[in-house]
Amino acid sequence: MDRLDELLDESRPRVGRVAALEAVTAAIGKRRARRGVIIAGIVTLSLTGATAAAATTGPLGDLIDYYLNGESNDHAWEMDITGTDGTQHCIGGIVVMPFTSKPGYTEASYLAIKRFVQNHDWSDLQPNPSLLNEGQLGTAEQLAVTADRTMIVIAQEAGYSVDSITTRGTAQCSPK
Amino acid sequence: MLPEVALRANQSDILAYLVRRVDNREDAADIFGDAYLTAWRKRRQMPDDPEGARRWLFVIARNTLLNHYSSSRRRRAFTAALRDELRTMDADDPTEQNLEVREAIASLAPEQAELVRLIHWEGFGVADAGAILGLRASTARSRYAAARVMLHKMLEVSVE
Repeated sequence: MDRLDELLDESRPRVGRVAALEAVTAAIGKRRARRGVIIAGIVTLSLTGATAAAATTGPLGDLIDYYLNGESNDHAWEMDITGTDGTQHCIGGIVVMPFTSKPGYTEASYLAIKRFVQNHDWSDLQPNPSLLNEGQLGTAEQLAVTADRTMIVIAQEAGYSVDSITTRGTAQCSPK
Repeated sequence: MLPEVALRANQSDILAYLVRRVDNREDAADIFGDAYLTAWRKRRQMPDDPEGARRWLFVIARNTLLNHYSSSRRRRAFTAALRDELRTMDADDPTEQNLEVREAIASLAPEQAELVRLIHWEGFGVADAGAILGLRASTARSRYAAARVMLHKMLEVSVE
C-alpha cells in the first residue's frame, strides 16, 4: 500500500455505531404483505379486497410491485399504514392509471385525480384502531377493510362517491 | 444467505455509506428506510452469496440515494428514532489533511470520485465497485487508474 492508498483510506468520514439502526432493520423484516389500491381511470376503483387474500401473489399485487419498485415514477405513490402503537405494519400502494377505453374518460379527469393522490399527505392514514390493534394485526381481511376505507376516502376527496364495492374489490363510483 | 441475515449484516455499512453522501445526516435515515424496504420487497432477487448480497444491497442503496436527489422524500414513522439519533450524533471531526483528500476526490469526475470512495471508504474491490456503478471490470480498472494518477498530482505535496 502506498502513501496515496493510506491518505484515501484515512479520509473516510467516520460514522459511529447507531443504536436505533437495529430496530429499523428489524421492523422492515417483519413487514406485512403490501396491500394496494388502484384507481383505474376515473369511475372505477379496484383494490385488494377481502377475497384477494394473497394480494402479493395475485395480478394486482404484481402490478403494484411493478409500479412501486422503490423508484419514484409518475403513476404510483406509497402510503404507510401505521398502527396505533406507532409502528408501521404494512405499506399500501396507490396506482393511478389512465383507463382510456372507459366511457367518460378524459385526460383532464385522469390528471386531476392523479394530482390529488400525488399531492395528498398520506402520512396520517391509520388503520381503524378497533380493527388493527396490537396483537391482531394484518390479517388479509383486516387489511382489506383498511384498503376499502382508504379507497372510499380517496374517491370522496377526489370528488367521487362510491356506489358499491364488490366482494372482488372493485368499486363503482360516480361524480358527486 | 438468508435475506434477513444479509440485511442485518450490512445495515451499518449501508447507513455509513449514506451518511457519507448526504448533506443532512438525518436524511440518511429515510433513505436507509426506503432502500431497505426496496431490498425487502425484492429479496427473492438477492444473490445467495454474502459478497453478492452486499454488492446488491449497495446498488439498491445507491439507486435510492440518486432518487433522493430528484424527489422530495417522505418521512417515515419507523425511521424517526434513527433520524433523531443521527441528528444528535457527534460530527465527524476530520483533520485538515482528510479534508484536503476529500476535496481532491470530489474534484474528480463524479463517477470516478464514487469509484474511489467505494474502494477506499466502503472497502470494495475495483471490480465490485465498478459493478455497483454499472461499469465493466475493465472500465472500472482503467477509470480507477486514471483517478489515482490525478489524485497523485493533486495531493503531490501531501504524498511526498
